[in-house]
Amino acid sequence: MKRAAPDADSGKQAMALLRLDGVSVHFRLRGRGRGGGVVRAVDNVDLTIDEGEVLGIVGESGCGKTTLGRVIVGLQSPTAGNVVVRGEKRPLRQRPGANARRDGFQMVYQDAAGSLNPWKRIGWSIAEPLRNEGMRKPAMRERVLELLDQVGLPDSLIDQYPGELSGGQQQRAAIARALAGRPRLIVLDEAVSSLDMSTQAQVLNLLKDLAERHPVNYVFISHDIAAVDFMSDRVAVMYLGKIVELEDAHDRKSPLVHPYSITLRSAVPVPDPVVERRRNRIVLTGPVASATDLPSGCRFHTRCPIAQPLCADAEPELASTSETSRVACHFAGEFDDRYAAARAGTTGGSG
Amino acid sequence: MILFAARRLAEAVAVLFVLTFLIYVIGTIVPGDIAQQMAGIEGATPERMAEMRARLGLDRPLMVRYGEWLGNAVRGDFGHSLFTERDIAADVRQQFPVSLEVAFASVLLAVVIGIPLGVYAAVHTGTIVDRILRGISLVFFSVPTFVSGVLFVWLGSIILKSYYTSFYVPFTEDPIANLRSIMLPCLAIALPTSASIIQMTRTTMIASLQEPFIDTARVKGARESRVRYIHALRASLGPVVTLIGLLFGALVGGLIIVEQIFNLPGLGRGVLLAIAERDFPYVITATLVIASVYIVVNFIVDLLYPILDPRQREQT
Amino acid sequence: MNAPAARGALDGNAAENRETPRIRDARLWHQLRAVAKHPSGRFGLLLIAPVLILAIAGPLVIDWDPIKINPSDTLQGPSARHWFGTDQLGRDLAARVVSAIPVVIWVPLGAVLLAVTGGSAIGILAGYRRGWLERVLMAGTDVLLAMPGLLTAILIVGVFGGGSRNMILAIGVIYLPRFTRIARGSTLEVRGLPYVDAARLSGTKPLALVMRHILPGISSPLFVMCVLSLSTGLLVQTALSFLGFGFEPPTADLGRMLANSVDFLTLAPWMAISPALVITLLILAFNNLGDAVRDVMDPEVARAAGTV
Repeated sequence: MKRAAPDADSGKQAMALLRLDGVSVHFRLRGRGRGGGVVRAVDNVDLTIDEGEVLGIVGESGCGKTTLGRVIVGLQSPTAGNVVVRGEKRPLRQRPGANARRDGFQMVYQDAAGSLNPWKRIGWSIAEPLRNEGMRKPAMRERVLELLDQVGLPDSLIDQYPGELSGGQQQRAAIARALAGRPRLIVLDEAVSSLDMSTQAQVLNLLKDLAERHPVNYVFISHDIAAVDFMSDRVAVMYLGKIVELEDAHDRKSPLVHPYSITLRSAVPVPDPVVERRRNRIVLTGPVASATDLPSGCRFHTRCPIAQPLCADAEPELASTSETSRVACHFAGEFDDRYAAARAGTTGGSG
Repeated sequence: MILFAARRLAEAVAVLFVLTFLIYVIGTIVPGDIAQQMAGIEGATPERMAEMRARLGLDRPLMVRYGEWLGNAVRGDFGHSLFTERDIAADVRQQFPVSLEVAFASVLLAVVIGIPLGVYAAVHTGTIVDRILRGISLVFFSVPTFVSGVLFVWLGSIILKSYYTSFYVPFTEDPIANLRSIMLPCLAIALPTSASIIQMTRTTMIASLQEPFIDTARVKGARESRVRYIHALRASLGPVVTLIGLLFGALVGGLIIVEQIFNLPGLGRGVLLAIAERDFPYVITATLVIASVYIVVNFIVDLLYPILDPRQREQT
Repeated sequence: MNAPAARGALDGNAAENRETPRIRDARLWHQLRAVAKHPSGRFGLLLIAPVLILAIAGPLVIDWDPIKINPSDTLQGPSARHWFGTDQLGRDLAARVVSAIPVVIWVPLGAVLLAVTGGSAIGILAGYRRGWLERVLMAGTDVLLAMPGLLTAILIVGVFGGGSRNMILAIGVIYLPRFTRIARGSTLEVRGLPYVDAARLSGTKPLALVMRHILPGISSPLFVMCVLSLSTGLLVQTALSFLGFGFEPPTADLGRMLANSVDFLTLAPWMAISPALVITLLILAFNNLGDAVRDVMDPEVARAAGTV
């Protein structure tokens, strides 16, 4: 799927479709509770998206991946840091979506039913970006029919209301609307998670096809690492507002090495019963730490199967550990040994 | 809980403060040149007008006058009536107890009528009595106070002649005569109020009778009457109390109307008279007194709610 | 706006509640039919019918001039000549009642329209913009709510004078806060929905966003509140008239007619009966219609309703 050849580091920055520089989104909790904490939904994230690639963002619910997606499209202003689109800095405080048409960024949401106005016909909703561009009615209808065809929906749906469609159809319609303005980038926020399995596969394949036919980039956000693997050229793993692992090169064969990434991947069932039975699943213990009351040191140390005393004190940087990925872990690349040791320890202790 | 009360109190005080300003401005600016009206009575030469303005303090800026008025008001001095030249605070002190008594008696009457009937209807849902009660309360709810008031004036002057006293007698002078003089006005206010209370009691009571804790009480061996009238009723009182708080606005309206119809010397009739006479210092004072009571009642209702319904406590 | 948009706006008035977005069944016509079939709705229409017939057919049938004084006919009881009797000045009560009906319908209607327009605008602005603007607007709403409704109306009409326009203004002002609250609450609910975000990303400007995406989503509770407010609006209007703040005499005015009758109750009780009956019938009718509309369209709104 990669179109542009990888550039040298300096050239790459200038060419980048989107660059996030130290982006943070901190929500202040107002209200009755004592004090009023700060939710660090996204905390000091650096990220670059090049033309023609699909970036996957994976993480548990509440890790800030949706907020990150909203920052990318401009629905949410970062509380710190910069968003640079094609070399141009986005104004800091602005009306949500004010930049949308200039950037050509769109978003597809998890809630398929909620992403179409229930009081408007499907055709009306899909045509919304076109109408805002001032397109004339006949041309608009033509284009809407073309879009319906592209996402595999029958023409007849144009005059129907969202409530009359199935979840899969609603999501296809939402995709059609996202495509209508010929966007440069679409953030797919858990776009298939609410659909049933067979529909998920269909929609994922549709998205892949569309990306091959159009010059569009995706940011594919999901809690489902298998879907992220399927869709993405490279993967970013988020935990509590931070990116803990980021693949640099566009090599999907490379394994992820952060303990959190490894546990995520180990949760995916393998479609071979023999392997599946012998497989070693790493089950995380302990609750997800709260984004208002972050753990000291490495944010993952409260649940990490290989946590060491150092992890509670010092926060690891997102550093290059291999040719293919950057990892924020003090013990990156030592997981297998340390995990085996830790398991031996606990079994011995309890045993 | 205390934090919640303190916050609500601060809010209430802030609202009252803004209200004083609004009412002061409306009562001073909008009615036009009071000096001209006053002087007009005695012949409006420019000298007289200037003298009038100086006497009324109208030659100074509004904010200064408001500040001065507020300062005096806090000390209980609300100035003198433009019309009768009497001390407004003294007048209000006389009228306020009358309105308060009628209001209190009306609410009491409405509660005494409304809650038992509502409970009865809830326990006997679907029976003929329930249906008749619903029909009656629907009608009573829709009969305006001034219509039932006129009806009661007529009843009082024809049928209840020997029971009804048509002029107000203070309770301290003669309790029996006092009750006779306020019984019909109170009934006029209580009818629509009790209709709402019947409906609300019935609805919440039916809901709470179906809740799991009622079954728990039954299983634990509580007598059915105890289950109904202690457990279920208590749980349904919260919304009823809130309703009474909400109805207080309508109650004030009802008071103004019955005081007018039955010639009761209360605040409501005082306001009506003062508006007719364009006696705005009085109007401002009486309005503020009424608004303060209204705010205090809402404050109390907010505090009572979690006390009556323990389920609400965690949320506050 | 193009054709589907215009159609959509129409549907918006009949907005279905959010759980079942099957819009085809939610058109205004279907909902009105459901209201007419609802027992309370049917009862309300049944009560309103004779009053409307009286208001429409009355002027054609009754020959008497509502404001003409007939010294020879004072305080006559109901008869074939004077259906509802006459007052102390010999004016025909039937003619007076009939001529006073339109205003008790138009004034509450005008007041509710004023309140729903102003209240929605303020509430949507508060819910959409948030921040200090929201706090200021909602504080203003709280201040207005801290005054008993009828007292506020009396102050306004007492200061500015009576008549239709000022009564509409007075009642509209006391009903403003409830619409503001509903509009703000619903806006807060709707503004976070993905389709509103999607519209933002499609380049829809704020005003269009509100008109196309937020207003249809909140119109259902607002409409229910409108119907519920009609009966209390009528109540406040007739109360103002009763207290002498309505229309200048000799214009026939139901509230004032009832107030005048108090001095003649033992002599001529019929002076009270016809205005009292018309007022009560209309309030009862509007209350029943309001219940039916609420049941059909939005059962939740009752909690926000409150009273006068």
